[in-house]
Amino acid sequence: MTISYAARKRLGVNASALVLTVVAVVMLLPMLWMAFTSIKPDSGIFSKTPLRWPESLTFDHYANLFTQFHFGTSFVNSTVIAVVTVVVSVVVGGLASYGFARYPFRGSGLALALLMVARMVTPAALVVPLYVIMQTLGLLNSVTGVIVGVTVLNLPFVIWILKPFFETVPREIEEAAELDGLSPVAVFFRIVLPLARPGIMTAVLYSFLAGWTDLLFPMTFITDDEVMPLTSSLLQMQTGYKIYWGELMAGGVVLTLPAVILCFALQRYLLRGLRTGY
Amino acid sequence: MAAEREVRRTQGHRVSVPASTLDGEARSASPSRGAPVRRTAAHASRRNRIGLAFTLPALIVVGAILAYPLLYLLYLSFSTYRPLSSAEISWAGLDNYVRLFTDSTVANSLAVTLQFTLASVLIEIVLGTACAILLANVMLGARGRGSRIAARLLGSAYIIPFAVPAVAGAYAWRMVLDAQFGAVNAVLGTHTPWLVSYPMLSIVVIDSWKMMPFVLFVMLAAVMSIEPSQYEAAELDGAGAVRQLFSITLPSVLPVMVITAAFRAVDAFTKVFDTVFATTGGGPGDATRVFPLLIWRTAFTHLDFGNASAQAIAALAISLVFGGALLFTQRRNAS
Repeated sequence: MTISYAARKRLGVNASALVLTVVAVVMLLPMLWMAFTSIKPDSGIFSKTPLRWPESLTFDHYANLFTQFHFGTSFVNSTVIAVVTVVVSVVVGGLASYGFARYPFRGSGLALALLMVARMVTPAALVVPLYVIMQTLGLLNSVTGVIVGVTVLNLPFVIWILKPFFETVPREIEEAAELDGLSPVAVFFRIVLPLARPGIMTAVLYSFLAGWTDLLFPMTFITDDEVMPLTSSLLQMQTGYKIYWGELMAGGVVLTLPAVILCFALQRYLLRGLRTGY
Repeated sequence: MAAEREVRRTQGHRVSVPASTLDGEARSASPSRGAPVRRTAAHASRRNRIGLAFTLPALIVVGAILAYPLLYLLYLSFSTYRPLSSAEISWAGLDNYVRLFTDSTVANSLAVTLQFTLASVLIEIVLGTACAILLANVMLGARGRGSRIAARLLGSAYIIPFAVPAVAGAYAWRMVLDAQFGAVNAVLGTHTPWLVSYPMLSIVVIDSWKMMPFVLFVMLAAVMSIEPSQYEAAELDGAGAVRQLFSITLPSVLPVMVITAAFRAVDAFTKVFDTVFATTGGGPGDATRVFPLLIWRTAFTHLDFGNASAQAIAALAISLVFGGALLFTQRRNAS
């Protein structure tokens, strides 16, 4: 029996779609399980039949996050860390990237290569001396210390991700603007930045994720509940005596949702960053 | 970088075009390097100064917050500093480095990290490439608006694990794999403590889950950029799907695959932390104490900063050698 070429092709596409759907569902299961567990009452979580739909659903664990685990302040702290990381990384990194792209100077090749190497620094190696330095400066237990650590590791990435975007901005536009009497800095902010918007959005997204998701710096630098971001607050739900599973799962959802929503909203930039930045 | 292509322009200048210009947002790459800009010495030195001025803030930040701490790390690695017993930092000579070679936890940690890196990168590359080829097939084969949207949505679903913060993903997996209340054991009808009985397998699966989508999307771009005419010619010659896969698709994407694997490997080796810390915590014993975790534990659990610094220097040396070799080969291939 022979099947026509078009039918075989159709079959291949449908089979591919089926396999991909199954894999996607399997890959979504852990996060769905986390969300499901977070709205189960404790009796449903610690049950012999955890797969069964519980008699009732509850948002108590979410409420507990804010009453027992200072998640309100943690949310604010996470936001502050992420936003400041974005602003500093994109302004400082953007300027540098533009300098490298447009005004190569003596030694800029070397500087770029060193920045590339900086991206391979093990964060755990940096956190050791930075801890001692922050201690001397009295910056432990403050978001500043965390921002400093996250930003310096993020900056080289931003510079590398933005460079190709600045290179594609037509040089004639900048030259015309300079002839009209704009300074190079004004050209950068008024002409080039708007034109390189896709690149900037990519840098903003990745910088935000870097600040929002970082665990290493806050868990090392911060012991004070009031200054903790969400990531290291999660660790507190696992004490020596007990793991607050319901709250832990709810906290995981609270930490995850903004990141996932942002990635979906800025999906084009996320994918573009994967291709140019890594 | 990986996706940046060198295009030879007619004037004989090399202009690098980022992938973005190739995926539908073509902008005119500037040809003006050949334009009549006066190239006097004064002009050149002015441009030099402008370039330096633009990059200076970044160089200062990186210098002050990266270079200085790393130098300080080097100093600490030759010192004894145990804040618990004494606040003083005293000279230790090569003691910490000697311990790198005599302390069996260091060798063990290196072996563990290597196993983890090889296993997870292998799984990510194989699964990621396979899914990328399937997804390209679905996207290119989608006819009509509805199926095109469905294909896009299918692709988007894979973004989620990549977008999930590593700690949150780690705790989600811990609940899934829990011996008493986990979904996996409930389905299998067992009570296997996965993180204790199969710790290495567990962290490899979790890391692959998170990073496979990254490989998928990088490889998807590579697969989608293969000329359709190649497949048409192969079909005329009567080559089947399997033949096309092995003669056209895989050879075309192999270079991207190798680069991606290399970058993933350096990343896995140097940056794996959150996932392991929040699941096995390095255990049981030191079965999954990957190198970044070893450094952190030495410094902040055992409060032995001198020793931790020597370990950190070793980690930096390893990533420098591998990362440097990677950059070097990539640069040589590009030119």
